[in-house]
Amino acid sequence: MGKRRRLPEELGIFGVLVLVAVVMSFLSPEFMTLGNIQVLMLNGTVVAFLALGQTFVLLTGGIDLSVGSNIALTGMMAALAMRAGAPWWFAALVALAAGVVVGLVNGAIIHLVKLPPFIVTFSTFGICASIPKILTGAQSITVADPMFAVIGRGSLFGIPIPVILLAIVAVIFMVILKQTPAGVHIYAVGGNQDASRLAGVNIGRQILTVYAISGLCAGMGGIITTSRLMVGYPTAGSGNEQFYSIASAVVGGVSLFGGVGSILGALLGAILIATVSNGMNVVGVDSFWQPLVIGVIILVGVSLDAVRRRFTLTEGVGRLLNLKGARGSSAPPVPAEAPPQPGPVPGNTK
Amino acid sequence: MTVVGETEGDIVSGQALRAIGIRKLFAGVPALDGVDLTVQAGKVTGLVGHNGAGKSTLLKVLSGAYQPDGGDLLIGEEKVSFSSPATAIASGIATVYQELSLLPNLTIAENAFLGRELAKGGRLDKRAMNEATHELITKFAISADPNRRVGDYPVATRQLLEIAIATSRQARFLLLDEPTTSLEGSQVESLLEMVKNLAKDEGLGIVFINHKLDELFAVSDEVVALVNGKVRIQGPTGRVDRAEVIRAIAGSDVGEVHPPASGKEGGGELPERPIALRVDHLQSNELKDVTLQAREGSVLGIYGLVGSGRTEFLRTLVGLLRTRNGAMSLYGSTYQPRGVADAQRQGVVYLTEERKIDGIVPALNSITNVVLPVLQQYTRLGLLDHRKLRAVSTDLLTQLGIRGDIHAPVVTLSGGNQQKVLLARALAQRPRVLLLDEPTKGVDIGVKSEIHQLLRKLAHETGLAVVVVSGEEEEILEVADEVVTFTLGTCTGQALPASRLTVQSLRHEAWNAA
Repeated sequence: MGKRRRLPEELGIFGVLVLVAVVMSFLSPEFMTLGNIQVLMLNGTVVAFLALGQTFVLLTGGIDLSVGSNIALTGMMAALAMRAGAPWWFAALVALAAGVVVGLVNGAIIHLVKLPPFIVTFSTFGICASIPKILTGAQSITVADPMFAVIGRGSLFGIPIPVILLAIVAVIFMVILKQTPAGVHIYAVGGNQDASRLAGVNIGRQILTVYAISGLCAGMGGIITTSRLMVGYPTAGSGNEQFYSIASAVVGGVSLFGGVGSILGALLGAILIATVSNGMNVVGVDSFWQPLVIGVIILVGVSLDAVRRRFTLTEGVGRLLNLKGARGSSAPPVPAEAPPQPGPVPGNTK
Repeated sequence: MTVVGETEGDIVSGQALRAIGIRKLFAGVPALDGVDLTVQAGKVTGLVGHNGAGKSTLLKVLSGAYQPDGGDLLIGEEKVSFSSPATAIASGIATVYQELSLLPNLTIAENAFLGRELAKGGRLDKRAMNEATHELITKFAISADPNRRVGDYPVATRQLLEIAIATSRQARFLLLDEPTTSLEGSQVESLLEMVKNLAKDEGLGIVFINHKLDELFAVSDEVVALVNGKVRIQGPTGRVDRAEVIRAIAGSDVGEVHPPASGKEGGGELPERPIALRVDHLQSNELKDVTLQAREGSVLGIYGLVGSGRTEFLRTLVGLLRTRNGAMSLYGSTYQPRGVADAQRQGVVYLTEERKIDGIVPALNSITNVVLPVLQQYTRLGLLDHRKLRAVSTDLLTQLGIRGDIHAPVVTLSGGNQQKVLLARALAQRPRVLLLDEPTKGVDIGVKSEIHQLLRKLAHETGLAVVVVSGEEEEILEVADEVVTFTLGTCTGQALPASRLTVQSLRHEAWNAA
């Protein structure tokens, strides 16, 4: 069976990325230097990690608004563990575990209590923001173990370690999404939850999985943040990280309506956001402008997504079906009591 | 008549709503073919007919939802035409559809005055509205608090409220579309009582559509039977013979003989086959008492009118709905599925009636849609064996003769091809018992007969037990070896060979129990 080759969906976002990079390098000779690229990548990794986790959640039609403060929580957990005498690797595991627990709580409440994800994760955002402050009396905790610094500050062949970690995790996630039953189930749940249930997909397990993965990614973000500063800050992650992570996934083609998107797209989206952000710094745009620009980028990305859904999937297809329906004369000789509405109801869009 | 919160003014009572020679075409085919109907003030007109006879279409013409292609509507001597439901309401025609339309998040009073709220000095006069509503619901003997949300009340109460509120809007005529569908026992009684009183005491002209003949005869002053878009029987209830009505409705295809299905074996010998699925006196919230057997290598047709519990029964069989009582067994051993996945493991697979709602995953391609339930079986070291999955899926889809791009999102395919994708999904699960709910809904005639042939072949050649639910008599007779009938959540399990049934006899059975 010959495999059909289609243009990858991510081509568009890649083109935009190249365009932005070219424009930036014209505006500032500094932009395309090796040093700046390293800074750009390094600064972008935390957001990129969050974006990868966010992608899983968005694919099921959910959203995770707790990742920002989860960075503070997990980063602080690592710092506290090391202050209590734990080795650096154990501290990192503690941080990841804390992140996963937050995710599992999110997923469990969303699935069992049937609440909208944004309400649940918005609440856990507040909870996660408070815990590190309560634990430390809002003090920052200094980390002494030099090995821990390697995670955030080290590099291998000139590539920063966080970027390497990001690449490894991204590859693992791609495999999970494309090569495992769980991955396909996640797409299915986001595409049509009722149909998935009827096909025997365990909805609850997928929901738990995606929020746990998002929590895990927040844990990675927490470790990297604490490691770069060698200080656990109770207010880490309270900046634009969360906002940018959703932006990354969305401009990377991950649909806010669920069921559509890819890890590669989200990754490219994160690089684009990092590039725009870094580029504005390098060019010397006032930093007050950055969230505004990113906000506009999100709006454009989401609008394109909505328009694309409406026009290609729904309307285009609807029209097609309509034509076929009329020609194929699906109507019985005696019309049904309630004759079909003009134009079939298009796909089950939520 | 009294009208809540409005001046009584110039309502002329005692006039009739008349439809004369109403025609309505859909795609050139007449759904109503010259219908005359008179709705007398103070009288209940019971409207009855089989699915597709034109009852709902007629109702929609009277309520302004459809514009007729021919004929006249008159109120008294005055000719009227309704360009929209709003104009019909303004002329005093209130309609209560099967689906409840009150807003559950608003109070009863807020619903009653929606769009015509009473205000005093720019502020809502809640007290006046509550009082008026209280008066209204007391008049109808509904026990409810005007100040509480509609959603707090059970469906039966909401149905009564719906009618009460509809009549409060200066209604002279009331159109009721199967108002008792979701009610039971005493609730039906009180609704029928209310309908009678509305006609007698308030002088309303009422059209009452119902599938249940007992109720229809109990409440109506006049009975009208529609058959194929024409009035077949019309007369005062006392002088219309119930059996005659059933004959008219059921026998609408007189002369049309059931075509012999290709390759259909003779009746008799089938019952010898072993029983695959056995259901004894199954009861649940949705089912009253269901007994039946599905045999290996045979197609069992389940026929029933809408609301007979046929869909709920299939959903119960795959664990989507809970049972309360009764026994199910699969090849002799007790069968009690905990959910769809559990039913699947035991070889019972269900194909939904609502393709778009819980059938396809629109954005995924056909290949993935087919193998969605069986991904776990095609993994190596936890990773999907894409090549095998594609082979399995393409193989099934080719066998089913799918047309269209199977690599594109499944929603881009036509309805018939989407149905084939779902059939392929069912077969990919290697079922022992295959349950299909309206398997040819919304597919064209060509694909329809393909699906029928496929189902028969699957049963007869691979020994699968196939159960097909359909409200279409021709389909049941075409595809089934044996047929059972569902009426009002009940099935006696008495299976008749399809070869001895006709469209009329099927309808007759379904209506007789109604």
